[in-house]
Amino acid sequence: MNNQEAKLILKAYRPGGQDAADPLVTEALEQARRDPVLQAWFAEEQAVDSCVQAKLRTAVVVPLELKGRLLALQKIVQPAPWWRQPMKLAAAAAVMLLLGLVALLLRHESSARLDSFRETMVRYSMREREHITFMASNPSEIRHWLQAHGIETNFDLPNGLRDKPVEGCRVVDWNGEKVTLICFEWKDGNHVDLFVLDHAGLPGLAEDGPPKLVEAGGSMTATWTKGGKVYLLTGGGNKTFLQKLLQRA
Amino acid sequence: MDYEQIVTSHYEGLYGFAYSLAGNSDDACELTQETFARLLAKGGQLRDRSKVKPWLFTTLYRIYLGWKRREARLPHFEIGSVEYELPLVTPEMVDRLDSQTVLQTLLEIEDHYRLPLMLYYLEDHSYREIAGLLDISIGTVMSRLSRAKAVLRSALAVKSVRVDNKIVSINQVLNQRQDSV
Repeated sequence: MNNQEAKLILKAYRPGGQDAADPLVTEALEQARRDPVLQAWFAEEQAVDSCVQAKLRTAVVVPLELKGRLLALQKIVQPAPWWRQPMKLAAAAAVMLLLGLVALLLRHESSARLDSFRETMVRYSMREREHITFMASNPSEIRHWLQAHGIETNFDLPNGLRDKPVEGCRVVDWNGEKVTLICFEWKDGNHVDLFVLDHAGLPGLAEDGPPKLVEAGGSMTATWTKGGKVYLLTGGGNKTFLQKLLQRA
Repeated sequence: MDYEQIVTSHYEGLYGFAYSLAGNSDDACELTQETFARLLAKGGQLRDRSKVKPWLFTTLYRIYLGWKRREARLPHFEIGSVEYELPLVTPEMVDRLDSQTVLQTLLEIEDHYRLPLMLYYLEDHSYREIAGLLDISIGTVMSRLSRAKAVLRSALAVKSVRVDNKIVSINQVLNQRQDSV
């Protein structure tokens, strides 16, 4: 450090000596201690600074009433509500955006998973002619068989299916989830399959939502949720047929 | 944090800074009040006590900049360039001047030199604090302080000479002599 650099730093050194521990200042002070000319300059500099500071401090006279007016502000100014505070508003907006994105992603994911479930079950229903493992003549037999195989039977058949002829049932595995299939067949050969899955197997679907009719894999389907189960009904040929079964539900 | 305590601790320093910016008492009061009003509006957001002082000074400075942007409502004086390496003034010369003259001389310096100097003299802000408050580099603070001191001293030297040469009334001289006796 040369004297010119030291002078620049020492000019920022406050007369009170508060900056003595500052690393930059320490080096400049050391330089002043070594150089008598610089030291003399610094002493003069500090003397003038102290003098100017003292003059300025007495020159600026704070109005007597100012403090009272500032304290009175407490009664006038209310803290801005959080939505008028830019930082909080921005944070809230960011959280909302994040939640929105997460919800959108979950919804997209659950929608894709439902599509996959629907298409797989329709394909199974249409292609596998012998798609039941237990033949039954009424729903009670089916429930007994399922209970005997450790499968939950707390599903609720739509009213429109309760008096329809049962063909049988089967339990299939879909991505690790057990899906119960109940097959109904009319005398004229018309046939529908009802698939029942725990809601946990298709997270994100609205609970107890109304039936949604969608065509998938060349067949009409109806899906709905009720009592912690997801139901998929497919077959019957057309939309009206399924709607009739569901209307009575 | 207690509002009254904050006012008591900082209002004088803030007023001094506001005065150095505005150059008159009315605007200085208004700047100070607006700053504290914003502190109140902020509610309890400033939890760290050590941040209150820099927040108040920075806020006041921003309010002032906002004023300046909206209208050229505050006077602006500029002193011509001077050689700032020369020690143009001695403590004795400063002593001969009254405090209002020193303050007025400081207020005549252009903003970007006056502000660091005012913070340095009036509020005991370190050069690092000044850099943070005015959002300029440490190097810039040092060079502005150096330049500002030179400008101020040059102006004070001129005024000090005027005081020496001032024609005073005979009664004033006689009174001074009587006092010294």
